[in-house]
Amino acid sequence: MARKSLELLTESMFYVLMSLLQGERCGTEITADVERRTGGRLKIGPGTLYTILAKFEEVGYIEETRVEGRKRTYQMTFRGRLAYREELERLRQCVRDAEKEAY
Amino acid sequence: MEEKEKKIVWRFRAVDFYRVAETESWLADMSDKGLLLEKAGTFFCSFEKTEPQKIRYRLEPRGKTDPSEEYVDACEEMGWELVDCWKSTFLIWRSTRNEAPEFHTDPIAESYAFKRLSRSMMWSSIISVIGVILIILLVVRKYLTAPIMQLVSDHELFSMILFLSFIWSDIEAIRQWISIRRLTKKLRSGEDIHERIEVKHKLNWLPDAIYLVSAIAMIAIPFYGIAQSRTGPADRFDMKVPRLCEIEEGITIEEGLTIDGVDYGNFASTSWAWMAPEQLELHEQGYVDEELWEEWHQAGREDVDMPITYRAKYYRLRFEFLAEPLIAEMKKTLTDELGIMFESVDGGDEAWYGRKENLQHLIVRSRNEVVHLRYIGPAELKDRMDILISKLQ
Repeated sequence: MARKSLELLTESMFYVLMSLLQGERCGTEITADVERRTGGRLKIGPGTLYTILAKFEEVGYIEETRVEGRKRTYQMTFRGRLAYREELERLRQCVRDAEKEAY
Repeated sequence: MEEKEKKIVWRFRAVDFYRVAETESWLADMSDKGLLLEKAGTFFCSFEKTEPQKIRYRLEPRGKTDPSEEYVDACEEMGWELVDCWKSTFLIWRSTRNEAPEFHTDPIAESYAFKRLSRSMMWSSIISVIGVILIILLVVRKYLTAPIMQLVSDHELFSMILFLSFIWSDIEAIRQWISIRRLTKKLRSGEDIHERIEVKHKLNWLPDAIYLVSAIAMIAIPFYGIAQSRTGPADRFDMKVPRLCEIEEGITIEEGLTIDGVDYGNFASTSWAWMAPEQLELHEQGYVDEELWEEWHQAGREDVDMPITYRAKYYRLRFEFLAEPLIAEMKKTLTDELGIMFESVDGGDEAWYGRKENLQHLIVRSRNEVVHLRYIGPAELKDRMDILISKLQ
């Protein structure tokens, strides 16, 4: 059965995917990376992070690559990259639309 | 250094765990009073007595499996400790660190976990509603045909409580599902569901307390019923009904099948029901004409007269007003099933006699006592009315 894509990516989800663009990462590395990228503006709670990872795995955006002891590492799939690019394009469009308007 | 012994206290679960914000607030209130959650049970929660502390609790729907060790570690690293899992439905997390981030920072992502829980609760509600409908059909059918006979049967109270608790569980399951569905919708619209609210303890515990009492009653009632019932030879019982030897003169008692010292052709037994706390049943069998009996033994039932069989059932009802409808039901059942027509005869407050070939039935009422005699034999049962009435009085 074909896996259903997510209807929308929230800011946290978008940053989790962004964090995995560079390569494999485990949960705590993702949180630290997101916090660093956003200068501490976006903090991802542990509950949220692992719900997102579980959901992304379910829809096929990411996959588990390694389990070392109690640490699991994930990487983005082609499907995940596609979802990321679609969202990025949507956001770019939003910015373009906003910039057309003088304020 | 000597380790201080933990002091554990138990509290009735004051809130419904499916009301997430209320539960989290109640647990936080308890820690404000120095009670730190240790175990969350169906009806009771245990707490460790400590100094009052400011603690945040968060409930998270449990997935299909236990949380991974990595997840638990990561949460601990970020200031959240897993306390317990409630009924395989919710993981209970707590944080004592003020600087720890909120457990969930994205309501939409959180809604995924709630949506999964909502879906599984919907299916279990549907299945249990179907189950209850089937039980209702069964129970209602029994109660429609003979409600009073059902009420005086020895398992009536048990089945009634069981039936009501099934319905109660269903209502609860649907209510909880609606509550989780509402939370899922709130999350999907970006709202926070973890705000601290004032917990009104007043009657929140009442439904659970009723359910707990019912559960205890369901277990206790059959045991009480068993404790009240006895089976053995008739002469060991206080006979509220005539013996076969008083109905049929010159009777020779014929032994029936004997198991564990009890002759199941000739025995008495008592039973208990809340609506009929005193019940006695007597079974006896025998013969009068020895030649005829021998012949019957050799040739089989079809060719000659049957031996004499006798069954008497006595009820002392809790309420007198149940007696009349009980008799009406007994008569109707015998008329419908065996085609026995009853006529009113003199005796007690009410007496009915019916006959079909050798089979005779006599039903007599005196205030809240009802006796039903079933007899196959040559004697005229209604001629023994005086003996029967003297037993009752």
